[in-house]
Amino acid sequence: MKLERLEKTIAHDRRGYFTILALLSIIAMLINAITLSSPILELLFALMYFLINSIFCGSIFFQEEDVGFRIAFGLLVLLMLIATGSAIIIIARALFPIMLNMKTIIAVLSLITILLSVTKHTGINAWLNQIHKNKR
Amino acid sequence: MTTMQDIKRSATRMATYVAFISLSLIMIYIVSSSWSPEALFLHPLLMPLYFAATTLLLLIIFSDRVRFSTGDKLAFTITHSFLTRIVCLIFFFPGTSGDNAYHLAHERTFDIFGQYYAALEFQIPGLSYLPHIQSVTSRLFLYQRASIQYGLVTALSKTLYIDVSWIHLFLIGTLWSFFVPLIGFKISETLGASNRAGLLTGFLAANAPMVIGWSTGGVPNSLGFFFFFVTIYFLLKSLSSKNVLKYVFLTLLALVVSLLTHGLTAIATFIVVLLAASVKKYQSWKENHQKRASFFLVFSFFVCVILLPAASVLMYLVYPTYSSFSLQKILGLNINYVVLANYASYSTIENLMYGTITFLGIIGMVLHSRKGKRKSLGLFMILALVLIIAEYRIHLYFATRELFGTGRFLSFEPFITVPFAAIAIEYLINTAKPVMPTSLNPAHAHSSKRGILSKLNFPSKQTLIAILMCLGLSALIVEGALTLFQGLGFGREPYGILSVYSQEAATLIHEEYRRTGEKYAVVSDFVSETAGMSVVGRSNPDEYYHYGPLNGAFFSELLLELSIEPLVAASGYNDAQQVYVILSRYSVIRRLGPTADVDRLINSLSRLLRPPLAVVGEGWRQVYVFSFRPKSAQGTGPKVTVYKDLQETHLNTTYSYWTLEDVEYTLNLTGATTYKVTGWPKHWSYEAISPGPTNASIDANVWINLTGKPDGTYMIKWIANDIYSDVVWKDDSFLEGWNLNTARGNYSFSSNGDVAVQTIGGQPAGFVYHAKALPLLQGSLSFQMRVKGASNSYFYVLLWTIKEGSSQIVFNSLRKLAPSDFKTYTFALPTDVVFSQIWLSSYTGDGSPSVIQWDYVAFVQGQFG
Repeated sequence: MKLERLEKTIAHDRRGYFTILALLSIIAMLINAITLSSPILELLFALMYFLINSIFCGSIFFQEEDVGFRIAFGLLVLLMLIATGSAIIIIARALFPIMLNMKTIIAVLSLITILLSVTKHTGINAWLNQIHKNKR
Repeated sequence: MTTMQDIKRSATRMATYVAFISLSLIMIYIVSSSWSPEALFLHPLLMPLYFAATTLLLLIIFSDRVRFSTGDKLAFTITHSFLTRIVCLIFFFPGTSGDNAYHLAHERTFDIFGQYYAALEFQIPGLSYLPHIQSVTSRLFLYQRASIQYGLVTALSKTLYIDVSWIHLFLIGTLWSFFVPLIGFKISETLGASNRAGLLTGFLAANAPMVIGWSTGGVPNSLGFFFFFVTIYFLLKSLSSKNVLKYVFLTLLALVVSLLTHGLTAIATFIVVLLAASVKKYQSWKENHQKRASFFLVFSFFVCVILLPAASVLMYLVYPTYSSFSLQKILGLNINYVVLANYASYSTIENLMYGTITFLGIIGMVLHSRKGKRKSLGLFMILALVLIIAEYRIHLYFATRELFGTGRFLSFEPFITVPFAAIAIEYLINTAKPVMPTSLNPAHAHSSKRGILSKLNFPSKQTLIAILMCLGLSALIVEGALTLFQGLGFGREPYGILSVYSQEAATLIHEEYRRTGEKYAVVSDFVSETAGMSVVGRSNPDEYYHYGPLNGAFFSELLLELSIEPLVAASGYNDAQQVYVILSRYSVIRRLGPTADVDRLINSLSRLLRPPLAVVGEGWRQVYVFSFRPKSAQGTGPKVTVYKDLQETHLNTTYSYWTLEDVEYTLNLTGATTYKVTGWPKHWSYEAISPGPTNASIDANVWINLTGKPDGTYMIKWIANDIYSDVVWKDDSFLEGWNLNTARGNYSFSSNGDVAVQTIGGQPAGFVYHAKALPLLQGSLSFQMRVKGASNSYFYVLLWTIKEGSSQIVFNSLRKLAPSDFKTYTFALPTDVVFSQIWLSSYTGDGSPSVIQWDYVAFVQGQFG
């Protein structure tokens, strides 16, 4: 039950607190990588990022699923988005000098969080769900 | 209130948990404690325990007695899936050699340089022509290959702060273990099957013998298969769910991911998506235009079938590679093979192992279509299976040049058949269930026969079938794992895995680089090649590991010729200041054959280069690291005696060399008209005088006499192999003591005091022997000769001893085709004989003249060659 409540709270993301938290965790990851280089802190921030965004993804794409499947499939989609973003940087190297390094990866992670948050908060998700309901 | 039954039930649940977790932990302990860096080892208890764990899982899935929720059972399935992968990963630790290691090297390149290895090749001057990265199109094509895997591994490594090699090792296994059972379950649910069938689908999809090998390797093809399965789920959802838009988006995302993962799975995923779209269209037209809909579906299916071969043929438009097809191929195939395809070459066990799931899947498809529920999904899955089989058969019958291994198409099958195989198994168990739990006829119920059966507690038909199913499926899964260990592991021993020793050697070299900052290049055996690149990245301009055929050629030349030339050439690619050689014991056997003496070769290399910088590990995987500094050296050499117009003087020579095996000594003469040069070291071999003198007479063993112009300067050149400087006996002039022994054909033998020319011809299989007596040589010796010849000329040398009054051959160099330029051959000689005579032979096969030029023959102290 606790997991469900946590998932619901994060998925709802009232006033965008969790979006900000996800973005802060990204900044913390970058600072840690540059200065502290602590594996534990990095892991902690990364887990925070993955949890929030997996729940975002799950709530956008797999609303009709149980909470466990929602988070698991949310994680899968999140990994696919990260992989696609990183792959685009790799391929773009054929056209202009861009590197797949910590900075560009951070940019990809931030972009994904912002896109997911925008999808949730601007009503695109609600619109898609509305289409779904109307079809029913 | 807690009843006795509740307590019993929870005790059974607890016991099951404890039993399963204990089995898993024991297995992990056994496999990790029996792992050794020297050789692969499969503990005899491992497979029986795996069989027990698998049977227990299947009993949990099948059983209704122990009240586990579906979630609990799914957790067990995922745990078992992880167990399978963990056991495989530990067994193959630190990963299989070959492709897997190459991809790790690419990921390391991204980790260090943030770009594709091919982009770094521009910075390596030796790789001047790189057609595969010249145009933007070919660069785009090249960089997109496996970019999903490289991107994901690098991103996870950077964000989780875990080394690339660990992420690479665990990524596929983790994704597979966690998501495949979940997706399998959901696919089954989408097809309208029961929870039990869903759990079975998850279990079989994760562990099917056809795919288990892919589930552990860190290669893009594995990731491609995984995303193919993900795409199938999203497709089924987009065909069945009302929330079409979201699933279409997810399908497209999965398609993009597949496209950027691996070529084969990319095209396979694409055609399956196309097929799903066609099925959707067919469904919408079917009601009103049955004929049109059917025609459209058939046409679409045909397009889907033809797309993959067409794409692979047209590949050359974007990248210099392609596949080709020919009708001729099928004519050469055995009819059994044409009909049964892969099943024709399998053993009975392999047929059972690979065929059972497909067979059950086909039965399941029939059962599913009879139900009448979600028929469009069933139709899509059936067509997808036929499509995959069609692609496989087309490649099998017609492909003469393949882009991807034809057998790989078979790995798509389980992802489609498994949900239906689970339906078939579920059906088998359900049909065995009695219609009524107890007989309606009380008389029958109390008949003596039934009474005895119930007293004996004989398992019901359903239980029996379920147990047989559990045992059969467990055996199938265990056999699949065994085949994997055998094929990918023991079948390729001792180079089945990326050697830990090679990685250690590469790390040592890398640390040396960090200390000195000197650029280096590495020539190595093929496992050390990828092991090194997995440490410093591929195409690293400062720490350059030669790879592929070029590295193979350098490595072979070094071992076969015992020459430093390939190392000098290797250093030229990145202007390296040091060249390292990493050599494992088995690689010597692999290159030189099973009779090669590894220790002798190591000794020879120690003399040629220097003693090994490091020796890492034990056994066949033991690794030797040699270093070599490819620097041209020049200086003053030893003095020689010169009579200038009969006046004795001692003049310095100069030397220059790249390698000690090929040193050039020169002497400049000026200020006189006649010169007599003598007293040079015995291992020098006279080469030339430049410019040509007015008159010259030479005995290359002892003296050089020449007459020149008073104002002229003459340079005499010798060459020497300073590694083999301890010469016991040598003939460099061939002027004295050589007599004809035997000949068949027209022969001649002459010497100019430096080079002897021996010819034979006029008769097929003609030969000539010229012999010379030796001053009874004995001990630890090697024989050297420097030879060249005309085309199609053969030569060989025999050494004789006199034993108990009669002559015997004690050494035979074996017949060799003469090289067009002078080449030195070195052979280690037997130590327990006295050499009394040497025979030089020229041979012609077809009777055309065979012309051999002998520069020198020599015996040197020590065992080389």
